Amino acid sequence: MKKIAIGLIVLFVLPAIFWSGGAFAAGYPEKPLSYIICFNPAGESDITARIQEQPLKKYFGKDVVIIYKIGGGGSVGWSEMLRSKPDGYTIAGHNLPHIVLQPMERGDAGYKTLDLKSIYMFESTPDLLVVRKDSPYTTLKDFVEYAKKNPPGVVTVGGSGSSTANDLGTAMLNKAAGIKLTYIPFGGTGSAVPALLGGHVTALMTYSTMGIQYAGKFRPLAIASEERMAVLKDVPTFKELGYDIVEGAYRGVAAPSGTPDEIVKKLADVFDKVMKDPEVQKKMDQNGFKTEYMGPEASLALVKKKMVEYEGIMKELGRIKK
Amino acid sequence: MGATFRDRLGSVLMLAVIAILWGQRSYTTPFGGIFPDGIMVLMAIFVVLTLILSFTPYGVMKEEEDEKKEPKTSKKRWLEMTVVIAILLLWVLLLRYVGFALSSVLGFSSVAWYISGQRKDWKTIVKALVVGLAITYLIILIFGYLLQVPLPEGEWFG
Amino acid sequence: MFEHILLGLHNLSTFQNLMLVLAGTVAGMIVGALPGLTATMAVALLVPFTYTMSPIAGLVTLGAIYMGCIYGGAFSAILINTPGTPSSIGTTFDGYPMARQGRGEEAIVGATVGSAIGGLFGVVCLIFLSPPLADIALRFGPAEYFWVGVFGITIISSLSAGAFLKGITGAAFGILISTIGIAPIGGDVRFTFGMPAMQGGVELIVMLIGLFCIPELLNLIIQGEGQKERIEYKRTKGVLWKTTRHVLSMPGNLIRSSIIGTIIGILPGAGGNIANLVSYNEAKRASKTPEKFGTGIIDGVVATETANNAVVGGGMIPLVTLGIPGAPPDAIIYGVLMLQGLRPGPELFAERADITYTFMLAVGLSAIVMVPVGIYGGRLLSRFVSTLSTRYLVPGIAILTIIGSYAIRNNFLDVILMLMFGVIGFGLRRLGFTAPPIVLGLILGPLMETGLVQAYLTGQAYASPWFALFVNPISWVLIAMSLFSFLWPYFGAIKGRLKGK
Repeated sequence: MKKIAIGLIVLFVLPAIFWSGGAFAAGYPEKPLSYIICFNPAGESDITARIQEQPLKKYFGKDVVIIYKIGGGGSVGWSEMLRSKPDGYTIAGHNLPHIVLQPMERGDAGYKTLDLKSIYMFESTPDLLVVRKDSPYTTLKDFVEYAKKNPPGVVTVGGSGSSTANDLGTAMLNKAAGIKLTYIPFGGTGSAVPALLGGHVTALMTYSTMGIQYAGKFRPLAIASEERMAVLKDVPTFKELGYDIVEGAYRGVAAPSGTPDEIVKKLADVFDKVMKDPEVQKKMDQNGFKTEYMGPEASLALVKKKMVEYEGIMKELGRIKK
Repeated sequence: MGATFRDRLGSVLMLAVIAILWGQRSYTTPFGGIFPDGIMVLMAIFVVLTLILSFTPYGVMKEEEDEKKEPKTSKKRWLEMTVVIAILLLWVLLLRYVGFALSSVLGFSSVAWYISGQRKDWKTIVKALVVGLAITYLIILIFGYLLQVPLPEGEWFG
Repeated sequence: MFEHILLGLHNLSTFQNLMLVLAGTVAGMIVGALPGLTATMAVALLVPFTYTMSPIAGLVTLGAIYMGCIYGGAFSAILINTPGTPSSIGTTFDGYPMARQGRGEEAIVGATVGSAIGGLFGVVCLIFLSPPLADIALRFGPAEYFWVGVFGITIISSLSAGAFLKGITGAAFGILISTIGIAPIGGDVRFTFGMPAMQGGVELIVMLIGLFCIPELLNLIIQGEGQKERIEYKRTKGVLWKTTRHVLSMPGNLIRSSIIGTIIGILPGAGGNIANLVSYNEAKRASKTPEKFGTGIIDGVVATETANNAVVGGGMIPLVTLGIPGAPPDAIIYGVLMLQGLRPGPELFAERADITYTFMLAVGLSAIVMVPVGIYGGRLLSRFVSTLSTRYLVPGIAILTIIGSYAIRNNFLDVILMLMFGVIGFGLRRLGFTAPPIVLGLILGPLMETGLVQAYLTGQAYASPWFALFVNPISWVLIAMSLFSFLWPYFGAIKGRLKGK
């Protein structure tokens, strides 16, 4: 019995020696950073975080732990993050348009858009309209004509989720071209792909990343960005073709609203260095992401701009919850 | 409890569940409701069927032969079970506030001590505490450090 | 192709890689055996460790962990009536009764041999039949997924023979629980009782742990200390070889279960979790003694474990050919591949054959490694659990349930829900609603709803949108299978009655 007691005491003391506990070192960071991802593994948010993980550890100075809090299309993770301490050690990846649309459409999504203090917006993936390589439509014009010839709603367009950039992009195309495409939400960008490959939908309104990944099987018809993307230089923009559609998902990181500005600035600098790291840039390009470099002020401005923009669109579509 | 009583009680409870969920319906999109409504209707049909059948000789579930042979559980055991549920509830609620380590040591040791049957014996108390400490510690080592599974930190401490 | 296989074998045969396969398999088995920790979690947790390894080493490790994890779920299913991973739900049906009869070791051997054979079958399909199988997977559209869900539900009719109404009510209950949260189509917020925290819905694992573990735990208390002998460990000689020979003498079961697992694995999004249940159902149907299923017959254990390990290989088929993960752990492997700059798709087979084939062979090797480790470890484990006093077993299970339910989403609500559903599940069990149909409903609910609504949406071209459900020939096959599966137990009864007359 005594032996056990001594043994236990030793077992307890040993790690205590190695455990640093609350060291009072000067300056931030002192603890590891918790990076919350609110979407499924292998989605765009996850892949970006994995690309950033190693350089992030380097530039942040301490360990970075990736935690998944999936659910509600991201709302579970964001509301959880907002409840954590605003000390700069918990951040979450956040996405436009989700953070604007969800509170708008659901009434109570568990968080308010502006509670998420934007640190940095590091990438965007413009919407991309694709069809199969063996389909009869070679240009956007063909596709729109086909839609006009058929009864409304017959032509189906798949995309990732409801109240997402894919959803909005299709709605905007409907309005701009005067057609009625039926948008079919799938549970994530990846889930929509087999539907197109198997011919169950006519087209996909997906992200630029898919255009790169399935370059051999998909034919992109148009991209919803201001200018053509370098990695998809043969794909015309909707604007060029006469439709003013600029839409896509923006991704970045945010902290709870009480986080001190200096800490936010420090984190923004870290992410800035990460996104300018050549390895990171290479991988982002390879995968079809458009890197952005928006710090806290620029991100906030973008969010606010989108809030106004989306409110207008959503009101027209009748999708705001009273 | 007898088979027919089980069927009736079960059916009534299920109907209550359906009623509660039906009351919580608040769909805003055309598609949100098709599926749950359909399932609720189907389920109600099944439950009502069960209820009706329980009044006929065709009971839904025959009482198992060996169930009859098993000794009836003493009141003492039911009480034990209820107390354990209460301890577990407390354990789970405390998790958030005092963290995994403390609540698990307390929880584990309490359960181990309580169901041991020899509660007055101080040796039992000590053994329960020691095992509780050791197991919790081991789990924190394996899960928290080795596997990097996040374990709850208490909100009251840091 | 064969030179690629040889190349893969060559790469695999380094000391480092072989050690990684062993370590990965063992680690996977341990995680799999712990209720609440799933294969997806195990693979996700170990991804950061793989950054410091070369791509081949990292993938080899992850593949081994995945295979080992699916196998490991059998241990807790057999020993404490709780599936260690959702893919072993069916193993509790016969595995646990076997353990109660003192034949736990026999069950573990059966599970091991079955898992190894199923795992190898899946990998062989992966290596040789990927392109045609992937094509088949693509033909399944929303309507077909709906019918797959319906087919899954009809299994209940055989799972709860005699209490069918209760079973289907339980399934409906499970489906309703699965609708809590955000609707997959349209984003409607449903049944959250005013709490935004419920927008995330009820996680499968939380429900699984709650419905299986907690009632088991409470039963242990009710049965009291005297039940220490409930799992008598009979140390019989020659169990290992006798059982292995017995299992190998049921090739029909093995092959059929492997095929079922592989096919379900290749359907992205179907979820490998139903493979074991479908396989169990089919084994029961094909057996000459179906009434023995559920009382502790090894055929049941073999059917479930063979199928779930075949899913591992099967799920990778769409992954490597199309870049679409067949099951959640594949999604994580996909992420790792992307990170290393390896694009899943035909290029992976052609350009980076060295990595691809080494990876596939490693998964296959893991299936073989499982056998000695599992049998030896299983023996130890079953002895340990059977001699462990209830006094420590109960809180031990309790602590595992807490970790398991918290680890999914780092959410305290999940732990509370787990306990709540556990107590409810205990009560429901007493009223005749057993756990498997409810969990089946929970798993299949989203699948069915998504398929149904998506099919409806694509049906705008037809007179009624509902026609879209009946257009594809694959749908007809599935509908026929569902009807057959649903009515089959009653054929038996009718036949019996006719004979009796």
